[in-house]
This record gives sequence, C-alpha cells and structure tokens, in this order.
Amino acid sequence: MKKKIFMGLFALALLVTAGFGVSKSMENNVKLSYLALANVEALAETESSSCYSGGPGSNQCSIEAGIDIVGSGVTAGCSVSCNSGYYSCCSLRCTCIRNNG
Amino acid sequence: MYVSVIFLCFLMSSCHKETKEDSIEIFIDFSNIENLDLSNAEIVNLQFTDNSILRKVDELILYNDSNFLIRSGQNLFVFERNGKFKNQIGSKGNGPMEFTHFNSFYIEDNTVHIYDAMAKKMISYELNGKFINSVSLKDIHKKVIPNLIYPIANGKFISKNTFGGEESKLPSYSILDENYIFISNIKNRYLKNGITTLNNFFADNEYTLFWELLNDTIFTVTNLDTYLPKYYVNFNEKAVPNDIKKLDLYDAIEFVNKPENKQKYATLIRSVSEDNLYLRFIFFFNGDVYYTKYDKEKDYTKTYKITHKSDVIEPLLTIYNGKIIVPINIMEDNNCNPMLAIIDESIL
Repeated sequence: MKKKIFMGLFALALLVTAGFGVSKSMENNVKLSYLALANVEALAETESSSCYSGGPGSNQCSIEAGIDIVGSGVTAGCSVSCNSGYYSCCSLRCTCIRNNG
Repeated sequence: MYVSVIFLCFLMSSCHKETKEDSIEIFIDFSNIENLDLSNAEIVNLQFTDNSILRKVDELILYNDSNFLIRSGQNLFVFERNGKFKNQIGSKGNGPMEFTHFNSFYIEDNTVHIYDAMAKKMISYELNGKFINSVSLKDIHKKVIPNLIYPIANGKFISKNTFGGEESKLPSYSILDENYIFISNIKNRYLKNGITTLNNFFADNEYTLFWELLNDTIFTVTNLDTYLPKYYVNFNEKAVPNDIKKLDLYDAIEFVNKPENKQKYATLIRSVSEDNLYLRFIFFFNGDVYYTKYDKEKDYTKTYKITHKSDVIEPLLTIYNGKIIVPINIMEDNNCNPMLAIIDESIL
C-alpha cells in the first residue's frame, strides 16, 4: 500500500514538474533558452531523432515558421541544403551534420 | 592654411549625415511621431469561406488594381478588389501541378509563378489558378540553391540562397537570368545561418534593395555582383546595441524577444520601397507598427505610428499607385479574415 502511495506521489510530482516546464516555456516568446538550444544542438549531433525534419539520408530540410520576432507576428523559419557526406537536420536550428559524425 | 581649414569644415559638415559606411542616415525622432489612424481608411474585408481561411497576411500584392494576391503560410489566395474571394493558386503535394514547399512567388503578365526550393521547380499558373507548366531547376541549381526568388529589372531575378551548413561558405544573394540560371553572386556576403524570413527585397526598374533581420541598414545592389549599404536607420537610444547585432542571429533574436527588451528596442525594418522622391519602410517597436517616409530631396524624415481602434496592425505594408495598403487583424472575431485598410499616401 505504502509503495502505491509513494508511486502515486512520485507520478504527481513528475506531472507538476513537467507542467511547470511547459507553462514556463509558453510564457516566453523566445522559444528556448541558450541552455536548451545548446541541448538540442548537442542532441542533434548525436541523435537523428532530434531532427524535427530531415535526418540521416536527407540532404535538405526546412521549417516554415519557428520563431516569432519581438511579438510582431512575423516569424522566422529555417532551411538548409547539405553537400554529400552530410545530412540535413532541422530542429530549432537548421544544420548539416557529417554522416557517422 | 585658411582655405584648408574652410575646406575641412566643408567636408565635415557635408558628411555629418553619413555613417562610416557612407550610407544616408535616416534618423527616427521618437519625440516627434504622429498617429496614422486607419479608422477612416477604406476597408476591404477579405471574404471568409471554407476555401479562404487566412491565418495572417504574409505577403500582399495588389495586381492591376483589380486583384489582391495574398500569401498566408503555404497558401496563395486571390481576392477581388472589393475583397470577394476568387480562387486559390496551386496547392501543396507531390504531383506535377503541386508544390512540396512554397518558398516565394511573383506575378508577371497575369501569370503567377510559385517557386519550390525543395523540389527545385518553378510552377506557373493563370491568375484563376489554372496550371500552365512546371520548370525543373534541378540541373541548374546544384551547389548554390535559391531559397527565395524575386524579379528585378531587365528580366533578371535576385535570390536569397539556402544555407549549406556551418562548413559551407555560400553567397547570401545571387542574380539569375530570365531562365533562373545564375549570372553572378553578390560578393562578400555569405550565409551564416539557415534562418529564413519573407519580405527581404524591393526592386523596380531603377532600384534594387535588400534588408535583413535585426539589421538597421538597407542595402542596394549595383553592377550585378556588388552590394552597398545605402540607408542607415538610426533608432538612436532605441537601436539594438551593436554588440548584440554582432551575435549569432539566434542569440540576437533571443535578446530582442525578451519582454523587457521588446519595450526598449525598435527593429524589424520591413516593406521598404524607394522611388525618385521617397524612401519608405515600416518598423516595429513596443507592439506597434511605425511607418517612415524619407523625403530624399529635402533630407526630411517623418514617422507615423499606425493604429486602428484596438485591432492589431500587421507589420506589412504595400504601396500601389499612391495608396498605402495595410493588413489588420480583427481580434474579436475568429471567424473572419484579416481586413485591408487603404489610404491615400498624399495625406502624409
């Protein structure tokens, strides 16, 4: 019984933490902090799953509109087209990543 | 000696409006800004139907004073001059008559051309949406791939090119011939990131201008491969600091997007146009859109804050035959499209 209560509390804490994170990220028009950007980039270099579009085998990708500029409604997207030996990866940034890199 | 001093003084006084880059300074005087209230403007309501739902207006052309071509995201709509919806042009898909990605468009001789950089093709349609043809650009766009293509004078085109990754040094801009074949690259300006935005160019038979995100300089293209800074917009204490402008563009965007900085800095120069008499552009500051008109002959700048009741002015402006056209988003009603406010520019 105690174990079930503990698991329940743990799940609740996890939900609250996740919810807080989502709410914080939605508060700000800036999509992610430096740290988060760095994390995504680090992920992008190691895991193809972090590419929102593109990924191994693709040489070009794009994201239509990702970042709102000063709350104006004007959005910036990104796109990339890579040489052979690289694959394209579009997440927060659009980059070329060396195959097997 | 006396003559030399006078000559030096003359030089200094004649250059006081020039920046180090020899561009013309446009000074934005925030203490002397008038209101441009669009409440009495002609209003065109863009008809809202199941086939014409616009999130916002990303690009706007009034063609032959009879049709509005409005890009909203990956869709291109045609409305009559009175706002009645006519048709959509093209659609997204993998078919020969479709585009996989809508990068840019232009209209010429009643023919609409949509450029698809992903599929490397230019698709042409009649104004009523009927497919004409599709031209593959795969054989001519290999190392440098345009991301946006817009017409300039003499049947040529200017392209903003696609980023090739950090290790690839590619020109930001190129000039293409009438078949979209590269003629030249604009020297000494290279892509540093993959960020893409719309509204980058102005061109007619006499002027070719380009501008960039968070950059207060408006550039001109000369001799097909050279660019020069032509105008420098001086926001004075409201200018984004130079050390921020030097940052990676993503970091600079993050800086200006901070809530406290949105109220502090003016930026986002857009919708630039030039003729023999005036330079015009808009910019964004503290949630509002401003319109600046610079009289080239008198060296006189006037800036207006654009307002319309409590509605949101979209940071986009088109000038057609002396009329200013501005899209407005009506905040209270989700079931209607943005409307267009049209005023005679001569009142300004």
